[in-house]
Amino acid sequence: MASYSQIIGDLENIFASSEWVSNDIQAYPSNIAPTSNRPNEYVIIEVLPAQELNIQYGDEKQVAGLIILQIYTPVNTGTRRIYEISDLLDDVLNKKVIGDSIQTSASSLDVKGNDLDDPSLFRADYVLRFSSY
Amino acid sequence: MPNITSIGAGIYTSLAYVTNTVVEGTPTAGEVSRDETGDEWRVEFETRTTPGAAGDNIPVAWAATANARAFGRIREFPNIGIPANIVNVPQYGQPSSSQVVGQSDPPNLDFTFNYVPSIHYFIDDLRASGETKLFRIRLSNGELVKSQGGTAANESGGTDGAGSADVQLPYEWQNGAGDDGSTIREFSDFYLFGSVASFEIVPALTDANQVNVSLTIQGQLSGPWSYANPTDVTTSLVYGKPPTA
Repeated sequence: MASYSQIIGDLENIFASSEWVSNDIQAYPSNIAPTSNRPNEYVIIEVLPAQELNIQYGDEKQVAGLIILQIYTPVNTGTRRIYEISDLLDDVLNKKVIGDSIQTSASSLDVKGNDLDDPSLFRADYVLRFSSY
Repeated sequence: MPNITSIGAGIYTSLAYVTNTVVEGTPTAGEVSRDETGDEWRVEFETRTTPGAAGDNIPVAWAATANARAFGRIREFPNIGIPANIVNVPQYGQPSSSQVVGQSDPPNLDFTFNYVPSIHYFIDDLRASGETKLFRIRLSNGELVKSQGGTAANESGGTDGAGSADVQLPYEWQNGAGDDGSTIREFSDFYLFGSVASFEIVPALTDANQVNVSLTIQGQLSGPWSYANPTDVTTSLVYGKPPTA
């Protein structure tokens, strides 16, 4: 398996790729809040490698978990944009092999509604499971 | 006493075999005999470079032989041993029957691997050949030295045989000042002669692809074998069964 830092690195690299950058939607790692010059819509990358996988003898480590992309769009603009951004995320994340070891499953979308911390934003969580073998 | 002395999870348990031809009687080079014991079989898998002098807190070099092969990425081991065959015998005039032990059937040794075609290709070749080989199951709770194969140097400093990648080697460390001995991390070896009987690939939708492999066993399982910790690292090791090792 890849190390924890390699997992996050491989996932973050997706959002630096030309395929994603051409969408013109800014992506931030979690624990970085866009404050100044905040775009109208953006996503925050959250990776939770919280499930150990005991599926093999030996020293190789496998881990599984969740990738959550928090999608933020302006309030009072409807929900269509949330779905469009999710389709763009599907293009780079849904059922993919990422880097050397990460495999993602099918995605799902959890529309949360108005953001509790910032009432000017509307939030949805794009979620998929991943395994690193 | 590097046979395992405490309870624990066998996380580092491994399976290996040697490509040697199996014979009866006295083997020649490239052969291994059913008539030998673990002490002769183990040198077909691994060799130790005996240090010329005792050192402090340094590893002793072990190397996998050119004939040793590892079955990597094991997901499930079978029960290892001989199952009972208990027969109930009616007793005339008695309220309950008695039990006797009949001739046991050999166990089914069904292994499951996380299938990687570039690693496991040789297993189907073994099945197709039908050849009998010497297999070694090394039961280990702690991390051992992993052969690098490709005539590369491994963690202990030994130079491994070309095709021996991932064969598990003893982890032996020379003791500190004032002690000429060494300490070997605990493991227990079990040997069996057998052949590969089946090779079934199972694609998976939400988990790793797997391959199920059955071994036929011929004769008895031999073990647990291990090395005794030497009091003088410059001497040859004793490889035996408990209570000597």
